[in-house]
Amino acid sequence: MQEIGIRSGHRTIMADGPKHLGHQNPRRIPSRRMATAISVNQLAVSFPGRGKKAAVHALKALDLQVEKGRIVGVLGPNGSGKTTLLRVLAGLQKPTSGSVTMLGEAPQHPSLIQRVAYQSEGELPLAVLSAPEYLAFLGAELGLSNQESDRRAAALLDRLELRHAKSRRIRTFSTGMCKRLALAGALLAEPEVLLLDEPTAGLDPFGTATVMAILRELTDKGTAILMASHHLLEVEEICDEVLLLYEGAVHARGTLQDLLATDEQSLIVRGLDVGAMGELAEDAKKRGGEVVRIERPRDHLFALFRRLGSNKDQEGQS
Amino acid sequence: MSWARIWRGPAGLSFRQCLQRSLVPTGIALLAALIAHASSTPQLAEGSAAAAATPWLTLPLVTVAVTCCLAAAHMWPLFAQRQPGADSIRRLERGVFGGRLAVIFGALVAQCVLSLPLAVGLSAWLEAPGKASRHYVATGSDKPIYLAGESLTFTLADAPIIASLQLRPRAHLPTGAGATEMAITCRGKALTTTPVAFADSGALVRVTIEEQQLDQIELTKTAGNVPLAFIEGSVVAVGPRDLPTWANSMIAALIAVWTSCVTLLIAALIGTGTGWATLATTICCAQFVQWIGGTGPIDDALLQLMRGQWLW
Repeated sequence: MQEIGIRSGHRTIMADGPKHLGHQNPRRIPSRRMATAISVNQLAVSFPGRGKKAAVHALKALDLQVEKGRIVGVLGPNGSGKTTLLRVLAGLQKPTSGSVTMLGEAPQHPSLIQRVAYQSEGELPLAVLSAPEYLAFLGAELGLSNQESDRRAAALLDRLELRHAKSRRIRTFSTGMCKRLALAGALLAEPEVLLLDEPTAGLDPFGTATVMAILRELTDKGTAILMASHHLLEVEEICDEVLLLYEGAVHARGTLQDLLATDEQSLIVRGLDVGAMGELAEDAKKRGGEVVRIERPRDHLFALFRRLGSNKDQEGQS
Repeated sequence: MSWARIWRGPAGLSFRQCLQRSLVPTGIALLAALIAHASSTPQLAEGSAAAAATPWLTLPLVTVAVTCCLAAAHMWPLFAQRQPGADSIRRLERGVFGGRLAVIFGALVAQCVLSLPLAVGLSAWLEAPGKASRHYVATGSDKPIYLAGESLTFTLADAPIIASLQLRPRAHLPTGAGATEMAITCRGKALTTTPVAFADSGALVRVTIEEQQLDQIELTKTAGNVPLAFIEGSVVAVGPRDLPTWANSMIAALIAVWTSCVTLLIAALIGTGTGWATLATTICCAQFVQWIGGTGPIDDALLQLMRGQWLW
């Protein structure tokens, strides 16, 4: 099958968007006004300089609102303030100025330990434990009953495909397994707000797809998610809004629709034979359009991985 | 808070980790101590050489103490700076101590579990006296005695029952050869049939007496020309041997736990501003100065245990 892409004038219609991960931002954004989960006003965080080192202004006058059921991606180069923002929201870093409320409370409020979960970027603590032991510890710290903690832990380990490694110590885990366990830990309390720092870094495509699916389910249930990531395709795939930070300040902000829209429109056609496609190209030229390419479309690596995964599942079932 | 919750929390975690990580090093230290003792039994002039075996009791016990402290501090990310996953734990443990007190508690309980049987069993193996006795330090004048007929009086609070005396005077420069002999009495009644002779400075003389209640001890110079001074601690009254050594060993193990408590509290303070390497060094140093450097009670306690001196 061949595909033709035509760009028309200055305005382009994206008749067929990116297919990297299957679909682009498929969730319907409810139009009704939703409760605010995260509210940040004029947030600034500075780290004082020591000796000859100058003070670092990690965040500068940042405003942010995240409603329940929305997922906001925080993008930016290294050192742009993404992790600092998440640490402030998690109550681990005090702001230099500005105000922050999480579910109507200050980030340090004890009730938020259960209601807000934070998955940090770095290594997991207590790496001498096994995954169930680690989750049991978190459950105890979060005030869950042992029974409830074990039930949730078992479900999460199944869902995040860590069941096979339950007797191994965390320090023997791969990076991807650690990331999945960290997410399991964050989800153990069934939080209303999820703060994720690079949740898919080091994950294989299956793991990434699983995490993305879980995040979509959570937002459908009303969980607000703020996710810092360098993986632009994932952010594009899942986030309702994006916050682009640069040197601690907001460089761009808005819905993906707003941020990614251009003045151009394009038409991509499939399913025509070669003759019909030539005629269409000629017609497009006559109308002032530009034929960008005529090509035999190929699949993406991710789809290849997904097919591999589904084959494995079928083999397992049979 | 239920026990099940404590078991899964920082205290239980610390307890389990300390047990796990201490078992092998402690086993090796125990084996080394047993081999060392078997291959180098000291021959002393006096009958019992148990006190000379104190280092072999110390070795496994100090190993337990150090490994438990290191295991607890290493396990808990908030003990030192820049530890993996510290943010995750700090968010859950928002108290001033960040869960460190619970971790210390778990480590101390683990040390107890390992140290108690070790101290009881090993002290018996190393032939500590089967029974222990209370020791009472008599208080009195520390002025030197030069002339025959001069006497010093030492008092004992609460007039305990005494079975023997331990006298260890400091001798001044002698004016001529000839041991100084002292008569030992209580309110004029002789406690020994013959005077006791002292020829060397710091030499310990044990004097067995008939078991009796004593409230004071008088030492009177009868002969000789070595001037003596009985400074504080030189006159010790020893009660009858009627206290179980196993209980004494347990007290020693608890004193060992106290040294770890001090160590971990120091570590908790220092760790707020240092990395793991500095913290580990601090823990090792703090333990060794208490165990071997004589800055804590454990150094003396083990020696006294092996000498059959009641520690309580």
